[in-house]
Amino acid sequence: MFEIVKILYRELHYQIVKRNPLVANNERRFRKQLKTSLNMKRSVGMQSIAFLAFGAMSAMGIAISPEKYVITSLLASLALIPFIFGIYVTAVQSSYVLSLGLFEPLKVLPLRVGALYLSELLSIDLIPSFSIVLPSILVVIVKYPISGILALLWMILGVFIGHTLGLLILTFFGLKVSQRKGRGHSLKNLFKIFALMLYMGVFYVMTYAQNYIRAHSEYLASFMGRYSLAYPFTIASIFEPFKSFLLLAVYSVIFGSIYVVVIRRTWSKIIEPEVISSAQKFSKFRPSKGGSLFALVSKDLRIIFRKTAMLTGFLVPLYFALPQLIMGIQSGNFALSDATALFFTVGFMSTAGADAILKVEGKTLDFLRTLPLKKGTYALSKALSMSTVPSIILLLVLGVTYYFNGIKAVYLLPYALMLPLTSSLIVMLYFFHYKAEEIGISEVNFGHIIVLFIIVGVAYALLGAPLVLLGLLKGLPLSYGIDAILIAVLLYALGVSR
Amino acid sequence: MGFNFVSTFEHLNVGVTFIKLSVLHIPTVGGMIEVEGLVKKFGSKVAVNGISFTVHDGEIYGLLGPNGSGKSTTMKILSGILRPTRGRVLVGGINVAKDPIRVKEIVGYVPETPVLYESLTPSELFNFVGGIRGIPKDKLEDRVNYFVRAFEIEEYLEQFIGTLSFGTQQKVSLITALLHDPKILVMDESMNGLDPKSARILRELLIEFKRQGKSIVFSTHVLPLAEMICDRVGVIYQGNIIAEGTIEELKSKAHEENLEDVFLKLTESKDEVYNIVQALKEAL
Repeated sequence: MFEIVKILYRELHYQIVKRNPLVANNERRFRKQLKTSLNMKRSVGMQSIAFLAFGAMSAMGIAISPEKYVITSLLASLALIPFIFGIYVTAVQSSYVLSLGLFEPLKVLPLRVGALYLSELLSIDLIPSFSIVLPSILVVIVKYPISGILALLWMILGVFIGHTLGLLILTFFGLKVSQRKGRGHSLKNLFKIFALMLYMGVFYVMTYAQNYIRAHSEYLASFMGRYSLAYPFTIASIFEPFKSFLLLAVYSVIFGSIYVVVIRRTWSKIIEPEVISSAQKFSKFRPSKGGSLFALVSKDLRIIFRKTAMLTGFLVPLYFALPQLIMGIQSGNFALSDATALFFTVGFMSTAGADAILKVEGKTLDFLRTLPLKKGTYALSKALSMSTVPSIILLLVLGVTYYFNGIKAVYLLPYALMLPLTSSLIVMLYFFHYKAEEIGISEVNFGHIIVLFIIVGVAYALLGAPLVLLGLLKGLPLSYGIDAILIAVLLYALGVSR
Repeated sequence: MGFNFVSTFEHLNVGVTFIKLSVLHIPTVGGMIEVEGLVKKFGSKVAVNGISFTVHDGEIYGLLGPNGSGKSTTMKILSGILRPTRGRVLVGGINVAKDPIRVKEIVGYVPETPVLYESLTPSELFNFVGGIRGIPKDKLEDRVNYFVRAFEIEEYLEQFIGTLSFGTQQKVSLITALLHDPKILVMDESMNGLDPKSARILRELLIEFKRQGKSIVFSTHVLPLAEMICDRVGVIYQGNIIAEGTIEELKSKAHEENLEDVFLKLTESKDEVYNIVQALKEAL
């Protein structure tokens, strides 16, 4: 069985390398890259080592903490990493894998549940996420062996839950083929996005629901104890092994059952995607407005909003921003400074969208290459597409800010557009700085994303410095000025690198 | 310069109406396509091994060859998609290696297999291509509506491309290549998947394009079709052009009655085919 996964892995990475203009135009580099990328052990090993440094930093925090509650709260936040990796890699990477047609040859084979190969293939990409949590787990194992092993099991369960939820997203939103773009299509997509946002926020909702229950029912509060029943807070139970083991068993049974159902459904939908058809009608072509930039951005957005699973990649900032926003609304106090911090968080986290936006094309890159398209225009269009969803999120946050702060909220309006644009321009310059003219999609791995987060982080530190040094209102004009110059420089560099 | 499609399709009864389409003015130098000593390597593998040929204005040039002979690679180079490793390729007087973007502006390329955005509708795809190629709105509307009617895909305009049959996707791919009224057409086995009616329409369309002075490079495995429409053919085998000329010239040189036999003889496959067929007959 693993032989097939190995073939799929090689094919996937061959396709990725082939579409990477940084290496495809350089024969020596191409061969070298193929050697690295097609070697599963080496590729996973190198990524894991890269993450180990981050994992070591977290582990130090746990090593010097004498208090158990500090350890559990640190582990709870760490447990989010494999979970988010699981959900993200499954929802986004699987859409990409399927768009490359990797499973087409398997469809004709007599396989009962071929989607298991998809699970295995994705689990290879999930392995490096453990490098971030493993050092901390090892520290806990050394200090408290049984609790440490339980923590490890919770991390494994976390990635499994994320993977199962990712498969659910893929099955319900990603594997439907709507035959006709009806009138209600946009509305349905908006609803799907809303449902997805709720879905992603379900763990926060559960936490708040528990707080509510604790406040209103002593019986329930004593039954639940002081630990949450919702992952990742369940990891707090590792110092009560019996309870923790019981919770692990319950979670495993629930998500194991869901997985069994969903993996069969995924395969049957890969074999025969659900077709939503409607009555045929003859129509006349109506041209729309716009030049090449508009055409490229609207194409990207159409595809992203139609492939809801792909949209998950753009909602990562929301996942990080949601608790701050909910806390602000709950407390009835969402100051301008809180909003600014949230703007920076969303803008910074929007960097994660790089992976999804560069995977919009898939096989159709070959079609794009037949068109007279300049690399600079293409890169700029990708930057604009990438910044659209975070900007919409920030405009919604701005609405909340206006509710609490009145007209002063308008001071932050430029940030809603400029911060995501700054992040996305940096990302595009990083991937499109090569000299060749051809349009190509670079390989995006977690290492690239980490490097990009660091670069964007430095840029944001530069933008945030005036606010810290001069105060919010006095520092804003300078911060906007710096950002405008930065955007202009990035645009110039993107043009030059064509 | 304009052209009248009515005369072309009247006898096919496809119900088209007269639409006058202005042709983009594209200056050309010498032959529309000039290939000299073209070499394309993929690593150590030589896909095209120093071929030379010329395609003139108003000529349909057939590039024939077995699978893996270098046809598609040559066609991708002519379309500005791939760059030559060595040699000189001028398309409409533009050097492909130096300015592939300008080459793409004047070439319409139809691949063997349509690779299109499956979650867009044909309407959206035509708008997308129109936007990138900067085709004026009224011209785009005229051309799309004309071709959509000619190839009978009106009912699929608002359906997602991923849900369309291979043949319909091929028609969509074909239309996207014709939208900007290309001066040069590069068609890599583009008749694949087309129903007989659409194939006939495309054939007539190519003849009309030729009449207008456009250059067409055309590859097919359907040799009777090549015999029917190509002015000259080049037989490419293992990356080399091993024969070139009009169909009659090739038949005469090879002392064969039809193009299929000429092709098999040139590619040293005739005896091989005979032996395989005999072996199969015995085995069955």
